[in-house]
Amino acid sequence: MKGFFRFLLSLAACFAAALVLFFAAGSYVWIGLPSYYEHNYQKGLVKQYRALQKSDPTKPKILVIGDSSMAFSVDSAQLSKATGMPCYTLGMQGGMGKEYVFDLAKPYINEGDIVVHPYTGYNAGYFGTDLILLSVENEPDLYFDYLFKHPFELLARLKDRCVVKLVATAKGETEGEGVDFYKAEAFDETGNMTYYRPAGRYASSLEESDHYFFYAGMYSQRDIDKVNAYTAYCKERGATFLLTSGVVYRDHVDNTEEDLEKFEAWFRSVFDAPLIVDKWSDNHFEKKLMYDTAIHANSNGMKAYTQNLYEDLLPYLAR
Amino acid sequence: MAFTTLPFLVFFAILFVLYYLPTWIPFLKGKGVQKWLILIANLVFYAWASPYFLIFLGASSLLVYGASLLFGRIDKKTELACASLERAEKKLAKEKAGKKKKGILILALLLVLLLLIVPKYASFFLENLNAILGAFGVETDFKVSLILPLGLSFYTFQNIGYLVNVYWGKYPPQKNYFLYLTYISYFPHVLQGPLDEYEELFPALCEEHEFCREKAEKGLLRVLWGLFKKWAVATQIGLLISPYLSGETEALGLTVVLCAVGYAVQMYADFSGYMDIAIGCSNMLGIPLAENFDAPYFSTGVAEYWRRWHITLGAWFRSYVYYPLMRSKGLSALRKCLKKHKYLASVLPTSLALALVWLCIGFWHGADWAYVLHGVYHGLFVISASVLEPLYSAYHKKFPKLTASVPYRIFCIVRTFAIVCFGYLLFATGDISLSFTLIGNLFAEGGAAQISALFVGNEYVFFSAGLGIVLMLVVDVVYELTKKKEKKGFKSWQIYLLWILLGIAILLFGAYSEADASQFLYFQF
Repeated sequence: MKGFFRFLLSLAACFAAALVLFFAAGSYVWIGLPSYYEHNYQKGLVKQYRALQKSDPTKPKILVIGDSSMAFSVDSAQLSKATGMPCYTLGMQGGMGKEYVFDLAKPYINEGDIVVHPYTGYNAGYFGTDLILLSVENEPDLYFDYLFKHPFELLARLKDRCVVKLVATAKGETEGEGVDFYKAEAFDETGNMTYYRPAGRYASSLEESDHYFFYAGMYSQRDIDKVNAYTAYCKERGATFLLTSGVVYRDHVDNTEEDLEKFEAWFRSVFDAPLIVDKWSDNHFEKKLMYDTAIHANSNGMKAYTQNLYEDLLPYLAR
Repeated sequence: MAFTTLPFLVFFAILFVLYYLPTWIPFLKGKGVQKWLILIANLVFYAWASPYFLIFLGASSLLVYGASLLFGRIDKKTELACASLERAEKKLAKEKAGKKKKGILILALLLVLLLLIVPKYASFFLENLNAILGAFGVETDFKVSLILPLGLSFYTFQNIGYLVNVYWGKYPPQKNYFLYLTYISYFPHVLQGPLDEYEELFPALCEEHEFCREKAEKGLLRVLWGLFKKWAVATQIGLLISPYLSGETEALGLTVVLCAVGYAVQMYADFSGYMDIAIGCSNMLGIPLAENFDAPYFSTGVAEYWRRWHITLGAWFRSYVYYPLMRSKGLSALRKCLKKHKYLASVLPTSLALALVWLCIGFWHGADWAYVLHGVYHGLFVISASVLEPLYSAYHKKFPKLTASVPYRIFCIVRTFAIVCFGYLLFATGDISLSFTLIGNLFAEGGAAQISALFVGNEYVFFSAGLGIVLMLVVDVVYELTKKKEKKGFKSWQIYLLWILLGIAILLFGAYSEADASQFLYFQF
């Protein structure tokens, strides 16, 4: 029996040692070696997050949380100027997962804040570890935060990324250099997308992008529950959580007006937070306001969406 | 329940603790509780995928158990009757009993084989029937879709081996069905083998095993080595070559070579990795299992390769198909006919028996002509080696130094490996037309460009698989060079260090999160 317990103890100790050494090696490569992803698009989220970290907790602010549709369509500087309140955005890519971005924002939601979440037709996942890793590379606080919250996700995905980084570092390469707007440099220090995006540059890519059809039940129950829990969390912190519709290319919305009304009625019935748009289709833009995909606005589209958002927020600003 | 899944980890951890408990509790010690625990574990393990599979396992084993009991009863009855009979009558009674037993054996074998053939080959048979009738202008669409129970081919063969041995009187029949079921359904071997002989495994299953730290430590080391082979080599290589082997992407030139060599390594890492996990788990419980691999890619000829690859399957076919065929009336008569031609009398019956064995091996692997052709392909090499044996012997006698030299041995190893790899082009796709397309593309241009494009974005996969292959090769070379020497066992601290190193290697290079990380290639056979 003594031998049996010694065996189990040795097994546990060796297993723990292997895990610790694995994470130590992985962490060293991911946050210890020079950055390989510093120019990557996903680094835009870090810029947004760092700006949010610097926000004054005593001063009410507007925080817009979303995915790439939001990153391409909300100009925090313009909104700030219009509302007279500090404005921040948080969200870079649907594939990074909605829950991840929601969780990141949580500690910075304070009394008097207005938190807005635009919905598109994109049904986001929860944690997109592969993309999150690109964002948290060489950002120790964000990396360890994710490591402690999702060790198994990281266990599964970190290793191959580390090998890619090691190979690239050995070759002296850096990813993301030279690409157009999908890079960290497309964002200013606050994470606002300042890269100029004229209409028509990616006309064919826009036409070939996904179509959307809005219908009752299109968002999963888990998504609805999470958003409702977030609404309650904001309320607890003295903040207001609001929902709105995101930008979608009008020609790629396959609904009739009647369909959209039904969808909107369903939407309002399942979410606890108010939907601030008058009509869901208010933010369905025409081609001249769109950029490369059916949910990415161009620079003019960004101005138009931010103006719409400001107008929709007016009743809440007065409070 | 696959060995590489979380449910198996939990299952085995529970079993491992429960298994040794009776040896520490005085009133349970010596009561044979462990074997019943194993039976329960076997049934849970096997039924995990679908309880429906238990029907096949139960029916097949019950049939064999019943027939073996009948053999025992007939033998006993004949023995009793013979005690009071004259010599001539005794002979007559024994002949009568022999005929009866033979009838039962044939019937039982037919039924057991039917349980294997119907789910495994019915669809293949109907497809071919449709094609044949179609050739005569009769359009038919006979179809059947049956679920193939896991491990059916393996436990059917174990059942047959047991039945035939009881028939031959090699050992008495097992009287307790549940004990027999414990042997047949023993979880480490039920899905993919090894095909353990009853007389070797059963006593170890029934014995009470005290916990032995050395065995458990070495067993766990073997499990970790198996996991490494599976995840860092087999699954990673699978990620690279499966699009080509499934026909999703067309392989050209060098890529076909990469697929053949890759599949050979993948198959070895996958199958021997599974065996390492199975044998390691069983060793942790104090029950030794038969070895199934003996560094097969170091074989110098195809016949030797098959003595070192899937050893227990080869042994099974030798014992229960090849030798009985060689002793059969037909081949004995043929030998007699050719008495005057010594060479032919030796070679022809052997070749005929080998041809049938290899046809069976081909069919055993799966219900597709690709598998049959693969069996025939290997069979041709084995038969030609047997036919050309006098030539080889003369050659070896004429050039003893050359044939004993290391470069010649290396040449033979590489030649055998190339033959095996080419054979895998027939086998890996599981679809004869796709196999021919692959072979047809062997000399097509564009392979090098295809491989360099494959490298982009797959650096990690190449790196992990490459490192894993190097490690496997080192281990196999050391094994090959030292297998005849007496080996010193590892000390505990060395084993712990190896656990940690293998653990890190698995975590770093294993594709354990991939969708097919829990699928073993031999499950399908």
